[in-house]
Amino acid sequence: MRYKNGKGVEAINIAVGNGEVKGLLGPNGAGKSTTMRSLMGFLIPSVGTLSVEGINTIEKSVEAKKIIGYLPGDPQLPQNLNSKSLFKLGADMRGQTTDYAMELAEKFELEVDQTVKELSKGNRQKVALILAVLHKPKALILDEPTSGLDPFHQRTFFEIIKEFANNGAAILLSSHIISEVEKVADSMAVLRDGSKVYDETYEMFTRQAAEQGEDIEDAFFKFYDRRES
Amino acid sequence: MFNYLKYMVTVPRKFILNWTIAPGLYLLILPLAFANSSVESLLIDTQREAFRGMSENETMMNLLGISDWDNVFTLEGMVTTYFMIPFVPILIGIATIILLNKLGSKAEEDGTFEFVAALPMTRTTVYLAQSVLAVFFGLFVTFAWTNIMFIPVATMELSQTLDYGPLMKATLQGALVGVSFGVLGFAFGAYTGKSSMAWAFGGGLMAIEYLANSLKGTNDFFLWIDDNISSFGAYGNPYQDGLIAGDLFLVIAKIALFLSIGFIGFRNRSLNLR
Repeated sequence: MRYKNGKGVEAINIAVGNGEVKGLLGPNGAGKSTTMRSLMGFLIPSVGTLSVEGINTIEKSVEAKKIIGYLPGDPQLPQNLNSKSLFKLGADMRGQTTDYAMELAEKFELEVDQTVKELSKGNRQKVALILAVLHKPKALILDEPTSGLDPFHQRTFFEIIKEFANNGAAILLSSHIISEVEKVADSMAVLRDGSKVYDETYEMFTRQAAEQGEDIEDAFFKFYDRRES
Repeated sequence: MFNYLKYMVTVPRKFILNWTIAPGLYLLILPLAFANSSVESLLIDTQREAFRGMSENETMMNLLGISDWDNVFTLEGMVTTYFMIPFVPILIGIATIILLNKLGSKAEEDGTFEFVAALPMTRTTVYLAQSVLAVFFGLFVTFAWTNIMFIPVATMELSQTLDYGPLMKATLQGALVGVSFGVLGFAFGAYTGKSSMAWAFGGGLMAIEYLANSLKGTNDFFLWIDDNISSFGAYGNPYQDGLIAGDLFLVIAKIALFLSIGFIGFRNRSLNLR
């Protein structure tokens, strides 16, 4: 997938198993959001295939989206609707009820009658998160999911993610913060300049760091430096 | 598709309500003027004064869609000439482009479309639903205006009156002219994912056809455009002559062609997300 300015992503092969949480890491502009949008079929790749649970996301987009939950990197929602209406719409479109959405709203301490316009950035993020998971999807694609969430609700979010993983969902979440991935991911892939430069289990990454006597964050940054040299 | 249509009507509901009711209320002034002889003479005298000399200038008359100078002194003339042409098509064209940009190309640019795109719908369903709105919004709004305007005609003693049936025929033809411009804007917005393209093509065609309509008396090229491909030119005089199949066909064929072009582009492109 290439944009008109020549930037984009290429030759990325990422697999996420059922029950696995994979962190997609990389600096700003590395191609994380582009990869995720391609997976959703928003961006059409020039070559290659993208599939979730064996369903091609371009050719069978409806079937794929029924089992995927997607959170955009910068979720923009209609300003004049309240959370409850948005949950109802999301649920109706997927033939679901809003019960789970309301349960999550309670966990996130979200005022569902407030319009999006009245919500803080963090609360808007909560609405978008709930919209992504209200149909209990088998696969989750989450682009910087904790952005704007306070530490307490970040913990709530990670609990929800673990619950989904325990129920067999495949989860791909992007971040540029290694400590965030550390909390929840089983494996991690690193993108840089539109290419995948690392793809291993998180355990392997920490072992490699330990062997070199470095803490996780230093190892992560060094990993970038090593590729630059 | 029904849920998405509901969403598309719910999100811009204030915009739709404003466009449905406000111009209709403003336009009540036309029939109400004919309920009071002093207001009626004021309206007619004001027009006579404002447009003095215009009766001898064909281009000026065409600019306001007036083919017969005497029309500006009658209720029927005011409603079926410069209200239906050019004001209805220009307003409907602009409103349709704004509305469909909000839900389509502009929504892609500002990111709200990403939420819609993640829902389990095909691009075909999304485009079809947007097309339904693009066509029926203009029709609905214009019929609302003329029906609001018709309330005093039907209920009060006016010095002049209008017939409901012919007025609805004129409404349909006038609304379709506006829809053809709005749909072209929507289609190119969908084709490119850029709201500026919606304005460039929809607004551009409207400007060209309006100019051709106004300048048709000065140039054979403009006359040809007005006679053969212009939606303005296809308006004719439906209040008196009824709906003419050829005129209706031209406008509907243009709408269908524009929608098809937009569909081809929208189906096969990457979304223009920020």
